[in-house]
Amino acid sequence: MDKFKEYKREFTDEEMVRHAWDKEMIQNLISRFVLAWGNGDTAEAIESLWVREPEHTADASFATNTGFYVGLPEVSRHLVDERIAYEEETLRAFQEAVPGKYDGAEAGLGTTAMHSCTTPLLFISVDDKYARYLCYDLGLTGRGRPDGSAENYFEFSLLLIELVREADGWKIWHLVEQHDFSIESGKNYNDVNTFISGYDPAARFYGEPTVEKEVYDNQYGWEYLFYDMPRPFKTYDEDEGYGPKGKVGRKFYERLEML
Amino acid sequence: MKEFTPMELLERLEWRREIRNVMGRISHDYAIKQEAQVYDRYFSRREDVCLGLNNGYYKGADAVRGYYDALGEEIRLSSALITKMFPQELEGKTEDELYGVGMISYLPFESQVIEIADDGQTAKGIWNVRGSTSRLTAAGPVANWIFGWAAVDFVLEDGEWKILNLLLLYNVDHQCGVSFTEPEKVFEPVPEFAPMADFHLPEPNVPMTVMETFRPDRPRTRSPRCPEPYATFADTFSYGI
Repeated sequence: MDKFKEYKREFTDEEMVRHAWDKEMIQNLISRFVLAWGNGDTAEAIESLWVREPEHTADASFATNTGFYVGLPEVSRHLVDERIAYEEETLRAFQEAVPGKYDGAEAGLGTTAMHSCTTPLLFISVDDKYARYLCYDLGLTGRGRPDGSAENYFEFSLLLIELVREADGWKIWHLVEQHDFSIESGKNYNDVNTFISGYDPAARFYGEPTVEKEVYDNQYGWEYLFYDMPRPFKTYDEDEGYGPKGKVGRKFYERLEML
Repeated sequence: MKEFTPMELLERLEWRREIRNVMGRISHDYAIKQEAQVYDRYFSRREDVCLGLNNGYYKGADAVRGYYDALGEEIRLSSALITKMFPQELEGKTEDELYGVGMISYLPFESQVIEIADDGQTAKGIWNVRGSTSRLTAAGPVANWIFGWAAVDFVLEDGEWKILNLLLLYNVDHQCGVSFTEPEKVFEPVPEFAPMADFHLPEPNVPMTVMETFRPDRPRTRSPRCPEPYATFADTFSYGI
């Protein structure tokens, strides 16, 4: 890891203050996103918090365990359109089960979700144009059924986020959600054999990515996070970045050259 | 947003840390059963302070103080009953030493969005809350897992950030071990803890449903609104009423 020492920056006093301020604003930005994501306000969040400049929107990406949604319209397809479809399907089930009772209800009835960005790592590139961020997303999802039951999970993921500085500030460019596991609320997780059964309730949210590829294999616990962890860096590097052309998510034995 | 000099930004960085420290202190106060001190330690002395919970608002200094004082009474009563039940383990301790025995609540605050007004007189923040609470009931100690938000208006008073309005809303507040939309388990009463059945926290003086906890057919529900950059408190929304 000695090679990363060369990435240490020299700052003037003013540069140091602005660097620290940038980190605060990046934290605000990520927190805003996870709150909006949980609220289902993803269209507004993409509009205001994600990249807007054409050189970035074309390869903006959101990855789930099974692949990358590439380009801002595809990110929207997943985070906005697929979510709306899920909410409308949930509402429709209630409306069909009890005609009249749920007329006029806003989609989102019977659902809940929370995301978080806790225990963050954050580095800004030496050239001051890019940032990389890693956090835990410890949240929950819930979906009611017309019979009064519900499927409720505590959700455990990691978020790897690459940001770029645009004319009006920092924006989210690439986001990888590596989903580790879900614990059904009120159930004993030890009763679920994830290794043998491939149990992964979060798979219902993975959708149909633009580029299908394994981004995170949560069944066997490959210790590959180390290689993707943010660390001091000079500038954006497609190969080491969190976009669809990067190595993010490759298993440890495919990345031994980083040691 | 207003342009700030490096020194102004530095002061704002310090303020942001102080605001997070306030929330951190509140969180740790809950962990050590000091939540009854939250009004005295962190709220503004203004008369128009406000505390919002799922079932309504405590509006005004008397109502907010009354709520936190009642939390203290609940802890004192719980401590006394637990002490009676475990005389051998707890003998020789004073009432102060026994205050809060046997209970712990974790209210970690994270994923914060903080905005400080351009005029530097007020600030707003929202945090995720994810943890658990435990309370002594007439059927013994019961723990709940909680998921929700703390949304706060701060005011700068004598160089310290004080709470003007606090919204502490739970999306989930349900017995641990039970799916958060299933009926909670009912435990047999424990005669030694019977006095807890008669203890009730004061109702909000502005009762209303501020937020319903999640249920299978709950209408769409969002977190409290996220703070946006603002010039003065008059230019933005309030978490109080």
